[in-house]
Amino acid sequence: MPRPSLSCALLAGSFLLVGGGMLAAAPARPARAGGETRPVKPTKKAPEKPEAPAADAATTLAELEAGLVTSPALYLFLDPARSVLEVKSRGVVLDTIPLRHVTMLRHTPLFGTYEAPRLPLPALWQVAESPEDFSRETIAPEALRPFNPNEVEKVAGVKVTEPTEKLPPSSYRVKLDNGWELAVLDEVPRTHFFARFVQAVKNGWAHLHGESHAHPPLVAITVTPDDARRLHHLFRLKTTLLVAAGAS
Amino acid sequence: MATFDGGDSTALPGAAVTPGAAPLGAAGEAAVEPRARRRWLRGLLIALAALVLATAGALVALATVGGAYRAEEVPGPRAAVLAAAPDAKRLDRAESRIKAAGPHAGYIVVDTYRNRLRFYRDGKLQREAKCSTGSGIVLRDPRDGRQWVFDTPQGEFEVQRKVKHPIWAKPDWAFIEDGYLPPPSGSPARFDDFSLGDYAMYMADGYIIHGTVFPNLLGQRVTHGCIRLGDEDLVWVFKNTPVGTKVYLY
Repeated sequence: MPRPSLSCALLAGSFLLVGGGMLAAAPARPARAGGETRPVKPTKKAPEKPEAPAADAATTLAELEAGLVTSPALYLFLDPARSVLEVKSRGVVLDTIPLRHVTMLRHTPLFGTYEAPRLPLPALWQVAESPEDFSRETIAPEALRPFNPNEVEKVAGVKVTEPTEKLPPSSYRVKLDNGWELAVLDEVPRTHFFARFVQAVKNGWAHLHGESHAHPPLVAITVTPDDARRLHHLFRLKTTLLVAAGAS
Repeated sequence: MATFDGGDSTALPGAAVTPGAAPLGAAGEAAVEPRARRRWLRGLLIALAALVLATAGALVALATVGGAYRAEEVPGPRAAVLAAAPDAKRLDRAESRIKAAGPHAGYIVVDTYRNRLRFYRDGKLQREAKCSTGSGIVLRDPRDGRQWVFDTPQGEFEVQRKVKHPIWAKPDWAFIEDGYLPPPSGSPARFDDFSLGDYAMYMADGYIIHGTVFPNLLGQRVTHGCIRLGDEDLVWVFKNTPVGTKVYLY
């Protein structure tokens, strides 16, 4: 029978080996999306290009919006400083959704210092992929018979359609054309260390199992569940999002 | 003296017995047992500590591989934008373009999620009414797979014409939905003088603001894309909406 001290040492050693092995065996991280962060490395600085002359923030924003109002399409105006999302068309505010919280979320390694490229704001983004549509229902008669007016019992030709019970989700993501995603949430995202640690462990576990998930940078807005549901159908393909800069 | 590697002088056979100590035998074995238990307990505690440490190490390794989302403030304007001097002329020009694009008289706004129609004049709400809008249902023609999506569109529209006692020229889908083959165009079965109510305001692409024969469904998404209003609201909106009025659907 092995001595307990020996068993303990063997057990501990094997666990440490497994832990270390996982680190060593982990394949290199795939190339990151444009908005993702990179570890700080002492590299030679490239000579900075002089930026084009810019207008002040209010003028930049107004000029971007002036470009949008030439089209009859809807657009959404996200103003983090005022914590509102406005539904607009031709410059008219059709609806205002108050935001409980606005933040940017970037996927970074858990430890260490990281720098991220600065997001140029104000900016125009477009919806590249709508959120999944939960409310669509398809109906199709199996066969069509010749029309017989005497058969029609209804008071009028307009069919009564029963309203659908299915509600859109209250948390979802919308893919944007700049590689970012807009996360519409019904709860403020938990980003304290413990929550991040749990998330990182889950991600690491998925990574070990070869499940590669993309972690694009997010603009996360938190609204009430009802507001999240009523916004859902507005994120159609190519809907434009005008984003103002945060508080300076 | 007991040591972690199992050494225990009193337990060894042939070891010297100190004067007054109990001789080895049943009593000696009884004394060895608690020591062995202690040894095992100690071993177990060390194993547990090693297990905890190893698990923590594995979790840290996983977390290091996995990474997580970190929150950041939404950035303010770029340094160049902040440094730029306010250009009143440029700002005025942009704001004038925005203002010019908007409506210049009364306008209608339809919220297709809450099914509410609002009428504004000079930016002030004049009337709010329950309405019905597109159900979002997709209808498929079993013969050729042709599809119709019963959505109310989004964006800016305009009232192009107004009609009292409108007659609805029923499109194919109105028959297919009921399981009928569409009659030929021009057939009397195509014309319905009842369903649209007493007034209709026609917009582009066949979308109409009209009355309803199902007032109990007002406030719900049940239509084929048109906007249905109750009788009283329909009369008011019809009277206050000249041709050319802008309609904003969202």
